[in-house]
Amino acid sequence: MEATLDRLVAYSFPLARVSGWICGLLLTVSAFLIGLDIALRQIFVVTLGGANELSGYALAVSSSWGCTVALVHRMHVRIDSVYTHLSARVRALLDMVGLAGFIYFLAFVTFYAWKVLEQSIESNTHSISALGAPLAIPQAVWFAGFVIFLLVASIYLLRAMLAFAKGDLRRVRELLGARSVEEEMEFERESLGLAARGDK
Amino acid sequence: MTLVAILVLIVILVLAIPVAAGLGWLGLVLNQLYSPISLIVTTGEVTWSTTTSFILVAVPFYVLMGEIMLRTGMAERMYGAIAQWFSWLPGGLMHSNVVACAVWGAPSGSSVATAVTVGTVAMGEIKKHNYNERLFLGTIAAGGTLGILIPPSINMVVYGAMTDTSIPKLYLAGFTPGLVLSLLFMATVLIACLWRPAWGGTPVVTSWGERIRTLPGLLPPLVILAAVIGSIYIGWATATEAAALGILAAFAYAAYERSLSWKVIGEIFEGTARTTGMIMAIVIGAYFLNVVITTIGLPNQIGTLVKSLDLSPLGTLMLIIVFYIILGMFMETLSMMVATIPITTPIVVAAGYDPVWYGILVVLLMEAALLTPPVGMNLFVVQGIRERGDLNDVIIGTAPFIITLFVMIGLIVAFPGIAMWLPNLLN
Repeated sequence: MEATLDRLVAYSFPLARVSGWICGLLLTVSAFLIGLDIALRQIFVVTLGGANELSGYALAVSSSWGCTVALVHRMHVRIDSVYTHLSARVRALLDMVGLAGFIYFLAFVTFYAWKVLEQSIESNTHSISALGAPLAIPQAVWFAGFVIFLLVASIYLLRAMLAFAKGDLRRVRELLGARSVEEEMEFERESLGLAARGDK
Repeated sequence: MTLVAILVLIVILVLAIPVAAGLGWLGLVLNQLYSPISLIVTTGEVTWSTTTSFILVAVPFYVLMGEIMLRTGMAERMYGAIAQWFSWLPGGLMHSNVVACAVWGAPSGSSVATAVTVGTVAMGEIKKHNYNERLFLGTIAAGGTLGILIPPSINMVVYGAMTDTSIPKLYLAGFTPGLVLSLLFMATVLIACLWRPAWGGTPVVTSWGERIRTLPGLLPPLVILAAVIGSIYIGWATATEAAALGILAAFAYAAYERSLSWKVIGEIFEGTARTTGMIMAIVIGAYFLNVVITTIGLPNQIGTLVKSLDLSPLGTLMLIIVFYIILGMFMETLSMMVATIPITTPIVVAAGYDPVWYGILVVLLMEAALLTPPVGMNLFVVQGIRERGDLNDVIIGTAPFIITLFVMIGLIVAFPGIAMWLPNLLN
């Protein structure tokens, strides 16, 4: 059980990385299409149409898939003014309550996202625009992002509960703990490729 | 109803539940208790329409643009150039810190990113030129907050989207206060260093030749800013389309400088997805909460409550300013904004204030929130870059700038024209 969960947790990192690449690529492509659209509009007074709509879909997909990326990197904002003053055990408990709460709320969102998708499939809805895109396609990708989030979050929660039961508070923290300021800095700096230059 | 809402909010604060889920929960609880019909069924439709909103597409676009600028080394060259031009003033490089934050913060749209970037580049200069360390740290923490006031700004996009306020107008309204506040921060340094010349450190040696030579370092942030802001006001692009142009300009510049590799691009994309996922999760929770509180009439109830206090418009405004200053000591800024503006904006507008002007006031209050202890993100960031000593040094060094910021808030309340003359002029 523990080994299986650990393997699944390990899979979440490449999953997050690839999801991130895809979201970034979608947004970049949207930006290029919009740029092209503006250029054509200004120079040739014609419009591609649809670039704005497509960028909306890129945002929808990035929102649901990005949710998992943020989870894996412990990026979801938490108000930690009280949290930081509590004991490690209580903090670990709050980490799990917080994630369970997240899953609970997003379960509603995901279920009703499915209803939106189902409706689009049944009535074969197309967007009201020049593009006339079949809405089911972007909605399916969008919905899938939330499903992935629920799966990954549940795996994390299960693994953390198991660790908590065994008294391994460190592991809970690694998985779910709110980032401390030091970690935040280290992360920002690493990701910026900036070496520490403070004179020590 | 109001009391229950506040109690649930406090529970969420204390339990450190992720803000996105916390706002959703608050929505679920209020829906359960007060709504005549269950609004949970709306979550799907609300989330779809929110996450495909073309206005909000500007948010990941600015994140992406900032990521490109951050990861391709544009910051160091910019700081070098600014240092050449502003270091002759008493206080030397501390002025460069403020100016660099203003220039860098303009396109980057985020305060933390601004403080990290400028702070990391500047930190080594404290010892080299013998500056008063506390004041030097203060200039970085305070300067970093300029990022959300000088357009473009992610906070303004979120404010505009949630209150149906024109984002181009908000941008215009942010310009002059951004400029005035930068000058006030510099004046603060100047006054401190005239009062205690020793704080100002040893002068930076420079020459006109050197100044001209480093000038190209200033180009990237200015070109990108020109692409974003210029295209809006010559009527070529909407706020979101302009952000797309900013991305193209940043990519083009980075490609020209040969600072793009597949590895860097991968990091840019992943960083963008991470921040976008985090922000949009909060936005999803906030929009659902917004549907619930509007349906059950919470803003009206709070509005009536405020009205029953029988305050003058100015009194109402003061009450709200004090509320934000206190809340800002404990809460992270974006969460605080999305949770409160659907309530406070109608009250302020009903008291006769302009929503564009109020947007700028809110952003100024968020800047204060970034600097006020015990929870002030920019204080932590600066202390984090410094990696030694005590957080109190940063808090003390930032204190004069918080006072300056309050002066600015007072100015904008007394003279709304500081923000409004530019949008009114171009109307």
